[in-house]
This record gives sequence, C-alpha cells and structure tokens, in this order.
Amino acid sequence: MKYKKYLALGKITLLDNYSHVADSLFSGVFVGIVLFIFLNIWRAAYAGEAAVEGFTIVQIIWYLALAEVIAFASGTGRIERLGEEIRNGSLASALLKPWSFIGKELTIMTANFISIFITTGIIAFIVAYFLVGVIHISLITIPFMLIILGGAAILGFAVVASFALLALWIEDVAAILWIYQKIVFIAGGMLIPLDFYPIGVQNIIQYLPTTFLMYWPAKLFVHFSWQNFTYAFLGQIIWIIITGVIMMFIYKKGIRKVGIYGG
Amino acid sequence: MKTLNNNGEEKDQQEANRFLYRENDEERERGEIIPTAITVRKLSKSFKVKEKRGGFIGNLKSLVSAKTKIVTAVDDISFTIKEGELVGFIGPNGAGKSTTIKMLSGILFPTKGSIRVLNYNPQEERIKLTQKIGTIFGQKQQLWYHLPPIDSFELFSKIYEIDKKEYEKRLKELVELFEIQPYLYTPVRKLSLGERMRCEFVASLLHKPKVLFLDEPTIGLDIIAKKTMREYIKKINKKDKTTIILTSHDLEDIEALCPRIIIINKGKLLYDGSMEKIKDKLSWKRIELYLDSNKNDIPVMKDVKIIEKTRYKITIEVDRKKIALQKVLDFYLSRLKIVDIVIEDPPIEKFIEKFYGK
Repeated sequence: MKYKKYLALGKITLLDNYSHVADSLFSGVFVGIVLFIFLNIWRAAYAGEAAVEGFTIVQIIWYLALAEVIAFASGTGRIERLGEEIRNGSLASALLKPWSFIGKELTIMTANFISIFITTGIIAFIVAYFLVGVIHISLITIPFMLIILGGAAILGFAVVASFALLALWIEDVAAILWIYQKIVFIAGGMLIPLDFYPIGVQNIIQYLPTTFLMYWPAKLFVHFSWQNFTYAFLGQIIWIIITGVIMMFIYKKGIRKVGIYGG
Repeated sequence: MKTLNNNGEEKDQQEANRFLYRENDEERERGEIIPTAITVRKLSKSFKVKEKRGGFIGNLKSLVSAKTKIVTAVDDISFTIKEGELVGFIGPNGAGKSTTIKMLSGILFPTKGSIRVLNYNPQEERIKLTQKIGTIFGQKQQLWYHLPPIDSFELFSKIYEIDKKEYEKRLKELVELFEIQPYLYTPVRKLSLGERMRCEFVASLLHKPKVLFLDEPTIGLDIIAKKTMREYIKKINKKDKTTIILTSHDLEDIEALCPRIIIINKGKLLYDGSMEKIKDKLSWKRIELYLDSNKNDIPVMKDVKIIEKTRYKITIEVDRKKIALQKVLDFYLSRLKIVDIVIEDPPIEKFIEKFYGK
C-alpha cells in the first residue's frame, strides 16, 4: 500500500513534466544544438581515422549522445531547487505529508530522469543518426542497459541529493553545484571517454561515482561486454550504498537544525 | 517520551513532561474523558544567528571570526487546546507564531519543553502525525501548478491512503462545500488566488484531519474572498469538529472566527483567553482621508484622534465604541473635498500596545 503513494507521485510528476511540453522540447532542442556542434568537432578530430582508443567515429558519436542525455536527465537543477525550497520555506509543505522525504525526492528525480531522458534522448539520437548513421547494438543487451541506466538514475539521485541537502546547513549551494557540474563534465566521461585520458589520470578517476553515472552506461551502450557490465553494475551498487549512507546522514543531521525561514 | 532539550536543562524538561502526564493521569483518575488535542508545556525555541559586521573589511573579519547570537523565537509558553476548538494565534511579525505552529506540526525541533498533538510527539512521530493533521500556509501552495486541482486531489488521496470509495464521497462533499466544481479541471496557474485557496482547503481536508493549522489563510485575498473563506473555516469547524489553530495578521479574521485567542509577542505568551473579554479593544479603526488639495485647518471631532497630517492625507483613529464610523465619515465628507478613503485595523503592534498599555 505504501508504494502506491510513490507511484502516484511519480505519475503526477511525469504528467506535470509533459503538461508544459514547450519547455521540455526547448531543452531537447538545446541539447540537440549542443550535440550537433560537439559531435561535428569530434568528426573533424577523427579526420579519417578508423578508430581511436578502441572507439570508431560511430561509437564515439553515439557514446557522447547518450552521455549528454544522462547528464541532462540526472537533474543537477534539483540542487538549486531544493536550496530554494529550504530558503523560502516551501520545505515545510513537503515535510507535512505522510511520506518519507527521501522517498519523495527519489520518486520525483526518477520521474524527471525518465521524462528528460525520453525528450532529450529522442532529439539527441536523431542528431547522432543524421551525423553518423545507425549504431548496431545487440537486442539482448537492452534489458541490461536499462538496469545500468536505472542504477545511473539512482546513483545520480544519491549524489545530487547529498549536495542539495547541504542547503540545510549552508545558505547557498550554487558554488557546490558549479563544482559538481565541472567534475561531472571532466571526470564523468561527458567531455571525452575515460579511455582518452593518460593512464595515470584514468587510474584515479575510474573509481569516482561520476564514472558509474555516465561513462559506463554510455560505453556499455556502444561497446557491450559481460565483463564491463558486471564491473559497472557492482561499481554502481557500491557507490549507491556509500552515497546513500552519506545522503541519509546529511538529511538526519540537517533536518534537526532546519530553521524554516520565515518562521 | 524522549527529552527534547539540547542545553543540558534536563530538570525543566523533566518537569514539563511530568506536568503533561500528571494532567492526563488526573483526568483519567477522575474518570473524565476530556479530549485534549494539543498540550504544550514550557516550550522554547532558540536559533543561533550569525552576526556580520558591515562594510568590506567588516565582512572579511566576519569570515575569520564569526560572531553568533542566540535569538529566542519562542520563550517558555504553555497552553492546551481541546478537540473542536477554534483558536486564534496572533502577534506581530517575528512574534513566534509560525515557529510555534511549525513545532506543533513537527517540522521544527524545540530547544526546551514538550508537545503532544493528538497524543503524538510531533518531532518523534512526525509521519504518523501528518496523517491526522492538515496545514494551509497562505503564502505556500501544495497544489501542482501546471495541473488541474483534481490531479493533486487524486495524488493526496494516495498519499493519505484514503480508500477509493471514501475519497470519492469526501471529495464530493468538499467540492460542494467549497463550491469548486467549475475549477476542478482548470490548471491551477489559471485560477485566481481566492479560487486557488479554496482548492488548497479541499486538498488539506481530504483525509479528514482532526487538527488543522491555518497560517495566514486569507493573506492577499480581497474583502469578499476573505469573507467567503471565513464562512468555509466556520463550516469545517462545525461540520467535522475539526480543531483549528488560526494565525493571522488580520484582526478581523480572528474576531470573526475565534472564540478563544492566544496572543504572543517576542516569543512570550501575553494572553490566553476568550475573545469576548478583549473584543472592545478591537474597536479601533484607522482611517486615511486623501484630499484633493492641501488644507491647513482640519476640522476636529470629539472622540476622533488625528494621528498624522501631510499635504494631501489625514490619518485619524476612531474608537467605534464611542462613535459610529458612519458619523465620522459623514462629518469629514461634508467638510473636506475627499478623493479617496482607506479604512483599516490598526497594526497588530498598536493593538498589543493598547491592550497592555505599553
């Protein structure tokens, strides 16, 4: 019975996201333009090379398309929104409902992940298709890809929520958001796949949670192997547990000292 | 019950807890069942506030050695509210009203003292308590902005785990009571403030809360919408025997609705008693008369106090117990060329000043 309230919340979040289609389409078009520019640069960088670091031009373009879509869908904007809710007192309304606050946030962010993934995904994949054509993937890998994408959504939530909940302690989380976005961009495999970095750098960043957020789902999409799937899956589980514990610690400590501004 | 203090003042805390239980035990021993919805004993809440020095150098210094001060928002207040009561909670800005309401609903943790709401400890049993209470904050909305209210109602029925048939019956009842049938399927963003507030009430009442906290529910509404909203509040208090705690800046709201009021100022409880006893103190009205030209000799009327005079505006105060508003207005309208009139309650600070003579 308890899960029904979260299902209903997920449903209404999706409804709400699609009730202002123009906004969603605009962000999708924006992703499309960014990708178009970005992917053209990569096409030029390949300059006739068949493969670089094990990626063909088709694979790198589709890799970047998926990484970009996951980055958008992970919703770092939630960090700012939650900070704003804490500052303007809206947090009170959320705490006055018979649900788990963390459960409610997880539901909203997962629903947002799904809706943004679909909207921007369609546009990003169209752009990738027109640039380099279709990528061949084995149908049997799709359910496993969905598992890794689900893991990315939950891991993204735990990381973003941990940062967002810092707003219970500090007034402005904009600086944290900025740093996080840059880390994701560079160390998450969004700028370039990890394989392109020097070995020394790879050895450090391959263990960061951001790698399991973007790099592995995108790499598995273009380059599926059971060994990589197992590694990515286990890595996600470990990081979900670690960041989940951190998130709960911040929440439990922070909620006791919340001032609810305007009170 | 766990202690809630964090300042090592366990004695006060234990005393507050003993008081709480002693009262209930005594009632039980006497064999009387007096349903108490809310019991508050020796409740205090302090916030640590950072103090910054002014200017560039001052700000830099604050980074190195930050000064903090303790602000006491609620200071040792105690009261009980019986089931079905409609209590007005008034005080000026920063008096501690909202802080108290937020502690009663479990979202703020007290520094000292104890609270029982419907026999729950709000801080330790917040989720269980939220199933039994409803809240409306006039300046915050809980309805989904882009969707019609019916979608939010459906969601709340699931959140509060209301049986489908029970939900349909209750919704029908509330839709009729608040007359929101025409707006059920209109996106919330397209509703007027008054229409939205009615829908907010329905959302908060779907699960038949036993206690309803209303924090400035009429803020921003026009006179007619305010009047209508007051009627609705009366109806739900009467129909469902809902205990209602109403905070408002608008003394007319309180006067029209609350047989009992609690006045709080600077965190301290100043008055807890019947409205009747202090009703005469609410008889003052402030009138602003806007003139079409500057006039130096202002006619003086007995029992009317001139507060302020500027080139095109005169502010007067009238005690309605001594003189009828109509008479005052007739007097000035016949003697001055008035282009606009504003009649309002004196600010709540003035009321408290008059009431306590300080």
